[in-house]
Amino acid sequence: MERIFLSRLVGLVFFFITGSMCFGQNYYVFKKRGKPAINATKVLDRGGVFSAADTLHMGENDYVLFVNKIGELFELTDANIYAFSAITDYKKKLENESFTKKYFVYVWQQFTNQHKRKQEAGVVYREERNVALVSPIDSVRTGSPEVKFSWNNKTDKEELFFFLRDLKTKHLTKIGLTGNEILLNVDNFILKPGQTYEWSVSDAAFPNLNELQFNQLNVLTKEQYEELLKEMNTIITAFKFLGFSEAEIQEVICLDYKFCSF
Amino acid sequence: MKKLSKKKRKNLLLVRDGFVNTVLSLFTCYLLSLLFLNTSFFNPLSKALKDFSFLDVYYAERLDPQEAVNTEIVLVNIEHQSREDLALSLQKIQQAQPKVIGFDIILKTFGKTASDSLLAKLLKHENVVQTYIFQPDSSNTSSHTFFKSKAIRGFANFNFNPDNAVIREFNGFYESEEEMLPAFSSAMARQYLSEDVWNSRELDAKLENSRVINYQGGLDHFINLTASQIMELEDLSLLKDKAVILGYLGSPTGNSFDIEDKHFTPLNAITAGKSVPDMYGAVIHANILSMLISDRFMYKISNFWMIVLMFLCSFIASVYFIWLNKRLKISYRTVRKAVILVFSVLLVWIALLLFKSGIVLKIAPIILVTVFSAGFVKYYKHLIRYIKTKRKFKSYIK
Repeated sequence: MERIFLSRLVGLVFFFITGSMCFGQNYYVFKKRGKPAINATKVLDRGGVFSAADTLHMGENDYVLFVNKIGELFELTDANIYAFSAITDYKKKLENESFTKKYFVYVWQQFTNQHKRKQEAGVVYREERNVALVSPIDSVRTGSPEVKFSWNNKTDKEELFFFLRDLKTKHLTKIGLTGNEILLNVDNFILKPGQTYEWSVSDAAFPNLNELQFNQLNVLTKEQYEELLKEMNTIITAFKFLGFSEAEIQEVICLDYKFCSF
Repeated sequence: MKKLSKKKRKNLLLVRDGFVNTVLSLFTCYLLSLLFLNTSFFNPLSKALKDFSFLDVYYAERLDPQEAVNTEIVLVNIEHQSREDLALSLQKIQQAQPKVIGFDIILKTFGKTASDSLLAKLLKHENVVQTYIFQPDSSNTSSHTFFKSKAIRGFANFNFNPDNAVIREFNGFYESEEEMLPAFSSAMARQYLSEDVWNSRELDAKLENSRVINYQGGLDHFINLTASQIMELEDLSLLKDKAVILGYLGSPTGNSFDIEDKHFTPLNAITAGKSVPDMYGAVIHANILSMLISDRFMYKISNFWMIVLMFLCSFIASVYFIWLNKRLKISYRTVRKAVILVFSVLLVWIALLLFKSGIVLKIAPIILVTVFSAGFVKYYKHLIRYIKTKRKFKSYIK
């Protein structure tokens, strides 16, 4: 009886210890790029915690390097949704090349004059510190029920201003926001079918609109859209015949014929 | 039997010649080094040599094994934040209950503002270590009295050797007339470790003299955040029971063109010649602190054993090259150069292997002196021939 009790007690203690070890393990964001999010809502920042109850949502071009309590690194690069338990599969391997090999490779490189050389040039790099409009590109026609406007903020400011001008009524809509995109529905209020618009983003609340670069956007009516689609059908069929995927065909038509679906 | 004893005699003569060549070459080498070091013409060269170490190759070429990220120390970059932001960051860090906070910043002036008052209050907390620049010959550079009174402090100087630009060693304490002054990292380590652990590891004794720093890595080896990132974090469990160092890590963090509080270390990719500083002061403090709290010290081979090794290598080289000189007539110089090259490469490899195990053997003087002794054989040969013209003299050299 005592033995059974003792074995149960040992089992219980073991379960408690291993359980607490598993649940006590959190991951912290060591490095990141893009906007990886916890539970699809909260964007992860450096030093942020990823705990057992969370799921990690990674988009295109997102990158996260987690560190656990003992300093092991876990590297995630692909767009996907990750459960907490899946992170262990992405453990970053430490380089374990032999010391002696590394040393003699170094000596050989020195003898054979293979050491790194750098060209010295007296110049500095400067990129334009503005907001670059990404999508929709200029002079696009779309029949999509919603349009996602995106841009690349190269300025130091976080708060930006989105401008949408109706070319027919000359009405200018201004929306203050943070982030790099805004999704607008063709709701007959802000965006109306059959209208042509210009859009832009600026870091200034009252920019000189004559100097601001605008991209034009033509929102098609259902009839216009179907007519254009009919015109494109021959090209779409030809591309399909050549073995291109739906996504590739859409991209080509958007870039070359300025007929895009968002 | 008679033939064997002749061979033995010859060997004895070889050893004697080797010994005399070693003594003469070491003496000449010593005289030349005095001339070299004291002649102003050679100053740039001697300074460059002082800053050079073959052991730097270990870090510069990443021969060291890659280690896991250090999670016991968290670095916080203050960038160019205002005192108010600094105070708020410190307040938030304190809420996360770290074991110790190192404040690697000097606040020279006091502005009689609410933020300065808050900062002064926070800096007097028992787990905060402040810093100052210790100047043995003049007054120290430290924060305004309002900030530093009743605070735990440690000097930010890495060592007291003004000649070396590369930070390889550090002094844990400075013995002044009145008291033992701790270094910034020593004071932090003392707070981080309990008194029992500090005493059981005999850290006071270990830090009596300057120690070679066991570098674990650069900025990427430690968890580092900016003060503004700290302010945005909701969960600061990352900092609980950790050692946090607040200092400047570039703007933005790790900016390679920013050299404020940046120093030369053995991790610099360029081991000799002109380069830019490679490591922020706060990261060097973090490396030292990491070495102290993990008790992973480097052990330097004493000067006595260095001289013994130098003599031994020179003696072996002398005996070998005297023997080789007699055997090879035409190819001697080529073989000598090849042997010296292989010897140097192997000796550096052994020194780096020892360094990997925590033993610091300064190999450059040993190689220089041994190569000098090997080259001295030629002069020794002429000396013996000259003596033989004057008197009868037994020697291995004909």
